[in-house]
Amino acid sequence: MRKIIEEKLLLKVQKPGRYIGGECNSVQKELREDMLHFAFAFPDIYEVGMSHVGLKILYHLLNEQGNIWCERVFAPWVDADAVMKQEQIPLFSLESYTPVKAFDVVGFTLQYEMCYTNVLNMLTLAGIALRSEDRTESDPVIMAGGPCALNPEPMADFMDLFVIGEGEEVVLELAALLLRYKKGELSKREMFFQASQLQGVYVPGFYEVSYHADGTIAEFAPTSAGVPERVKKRIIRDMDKVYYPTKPMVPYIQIVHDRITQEIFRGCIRGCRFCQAGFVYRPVRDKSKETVIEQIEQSLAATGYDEVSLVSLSSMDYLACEEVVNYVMEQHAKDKISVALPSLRMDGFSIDIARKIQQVRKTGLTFAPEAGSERMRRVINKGITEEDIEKTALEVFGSGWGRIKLYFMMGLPYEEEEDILEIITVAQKVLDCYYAVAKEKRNKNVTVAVSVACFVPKPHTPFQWQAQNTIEEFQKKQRLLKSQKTNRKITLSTHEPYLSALEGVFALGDRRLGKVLEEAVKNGCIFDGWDEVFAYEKWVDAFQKAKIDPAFYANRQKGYEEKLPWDFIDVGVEKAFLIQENEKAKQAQTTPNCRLQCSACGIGTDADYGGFCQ
Amino acid sequence: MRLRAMFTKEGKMRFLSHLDIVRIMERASRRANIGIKYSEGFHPTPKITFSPPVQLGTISYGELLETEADCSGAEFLERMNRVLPEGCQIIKVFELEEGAKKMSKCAMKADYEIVFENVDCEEVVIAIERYNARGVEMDEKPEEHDTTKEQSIRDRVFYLDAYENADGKAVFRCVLDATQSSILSPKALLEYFREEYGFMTDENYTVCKNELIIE
Repeated sequence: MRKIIEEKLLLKVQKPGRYIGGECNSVQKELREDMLHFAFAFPDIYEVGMSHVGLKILYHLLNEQGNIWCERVFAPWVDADAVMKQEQIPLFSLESYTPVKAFDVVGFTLQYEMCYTNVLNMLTLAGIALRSEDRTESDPVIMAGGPCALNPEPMADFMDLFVIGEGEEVVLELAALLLRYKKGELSKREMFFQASQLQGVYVPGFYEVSYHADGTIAEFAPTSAGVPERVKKRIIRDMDKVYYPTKPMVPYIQIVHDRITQEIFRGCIRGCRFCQAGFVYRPVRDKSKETVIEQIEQSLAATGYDEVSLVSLSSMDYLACEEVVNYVMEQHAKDKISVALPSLRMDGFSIDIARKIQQVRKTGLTFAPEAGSERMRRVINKGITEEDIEKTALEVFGSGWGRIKLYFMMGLPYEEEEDILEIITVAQKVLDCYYAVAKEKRNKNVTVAVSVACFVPKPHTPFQWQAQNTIEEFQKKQRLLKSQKTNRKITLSTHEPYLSALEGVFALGDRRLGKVLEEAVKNGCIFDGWDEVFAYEKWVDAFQKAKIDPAFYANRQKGYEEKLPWDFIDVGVEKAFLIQENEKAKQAQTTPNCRLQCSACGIGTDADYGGFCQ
Repeated sequence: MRLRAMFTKEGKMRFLSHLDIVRIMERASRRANIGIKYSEGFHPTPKITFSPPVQLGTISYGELLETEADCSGAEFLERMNRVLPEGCQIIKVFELEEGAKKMSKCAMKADYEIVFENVDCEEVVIAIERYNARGVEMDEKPEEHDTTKEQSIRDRVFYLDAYENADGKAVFRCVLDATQSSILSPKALLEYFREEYGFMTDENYTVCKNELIIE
């Protein structure tokens, strides 16, 4: 296998470094019959997958276990995909170049909807039947987790089971079951049944769905006795005790986030109404600063990286943020270690921290006001005011930065034309702040880079009932924006509405979409998230062949009483709270952040999650 | 201490680009804890310079780097090799005297084997014969040749040979100029042989840089 890969594949592709493995801190083991051989599959290219903190956590956690060997598999880029199909090279793992079909279990992580075709294509490359029902005992068990598993239904036909929520504990419980199945102590069905009893595991084969004449869901129910009606997400209670990799892999080729990623907390205090992560990762759980610092020290020594990124959903909300930054900057001044904070906020923005972390690279800063008008920001509960924006812009330009990047969304619920126009007004105001700074203090050049994404309603958020804008509506709004932008110092970029429209369908979809995915893969759809590969017409054809109207899922306003495809997933936040939040959004009323006041979302009173909601 | 180290790029490492190797060395130097010197400026990085890149896929036993660290040559070799990946190992370290020439100024030769998948040994032999014959002609009747271009290549070719290896594959052995200012790559040599002597090959060949000689 190694010889074939080296001779027939590696020298024929653009970046062979993606497929060689063997990186510093990657794990080699001698595989024994009594060990579980686990393939961690990331349905995107190496550079994207290796940047993902979830992969690092689970890979190293699984390999800490003496009776598990976890290897990595990534989606081969289109050039390698073509060579592998032509030369009939099966999908293989990076550590030992073993065909994926020979593994005991393949675990996919679903980070974004547009990777679904890659999952199916990887199964095809591996020579594994796509549908769970078509696979036998000789096939690996195929499972999936990650944020998209919070509405697992569009992928339900293809997966044997899903992990719902945080994986560190449940993946080991599953591994124990899989080992018993491998040894013959459990039949496949028994193993799946026992898995379905674990909190955080969903076995789609044990459920049946019936539909009303109008296409909406009539009933979603287990088909076997003893299978739970609702599946509860799994969470980690103590962030100081949970496993975290302190000898992370160091890739040879440059990846997207090529640095140490140090997690500092889970959950988010903010509750922005469009943000799925803000609801599904509740409650907020901090790592102590002692743990964070200790883990950073170990990771630095084990990798030789020169940069640490403090990651979370909103890193400046971490109370010990400044202390940790100071510590690293002072302790590692000699070996030139820098710190990155991926999510800066415009309220409570600390110019001191920003100055410290960016003292070496004065490229620019990025903020996400998300909406142009103050009213819209209240609708989405973003909670930053125009005053915050202007104050931050003045500080940033006053400290010598010349570039501010601003992220917005269009197509948000209850949006009017003037809300769109205010995006440009805000950008203009930010630019005015630059001119308000004295000439000798400010940078010689200025750019305000405005990026406007298309809003996709997400499950488990207050906006889950909303109709997404149609492609035509998005295009109209984009034209409107472009016509308003006159200043050359402001640059404007917008997202591909065709892609966002598909994202909406698969985010909000049900298991009938499995057929569409199969047709799309037959049409050759892969890497749909990549503009240079994405082909919308192939998708139009796939929907037609599957006789499914995408608008039913994405562009239809749903009522509170409708059974939604993901209603059986219990993330601990009550539906009544989501309804209340949506009603407040209509009135442009905000909800305070969790630290200021508890808004009784339900997580704190849930028997499984309560008691440690700060 | 100024150090010059010769290292390998073989096995999996041959599929990595020059910039990947640079990153591997920088990170290894941090892990090895050898007090490497940093560059000045806004974004300080370990101060290491490298010999010019070889073509991706080339197996090499003669890559060079130069740096400055708080350790002896022997320590550098031992501690770096402990943290460097297989296939990218330091094989020799020279401790440089104060004022020693930078490697970019040193005269060097490299000894290559080009192994072909789809070329007969006989074709290589014929091409080399043509090359040698023209050399003789050029000495006898210099006025009949465009000597400037020819000579610039010939000045950088020190030895050519053809033979079959143990797998029965055709090998083109060549010793070429590797001085940074006048380097001749195996790829450039093959291109020249194609243009001038009709030597045809596809992309299916592997270059092995067996030795680098510093003069």
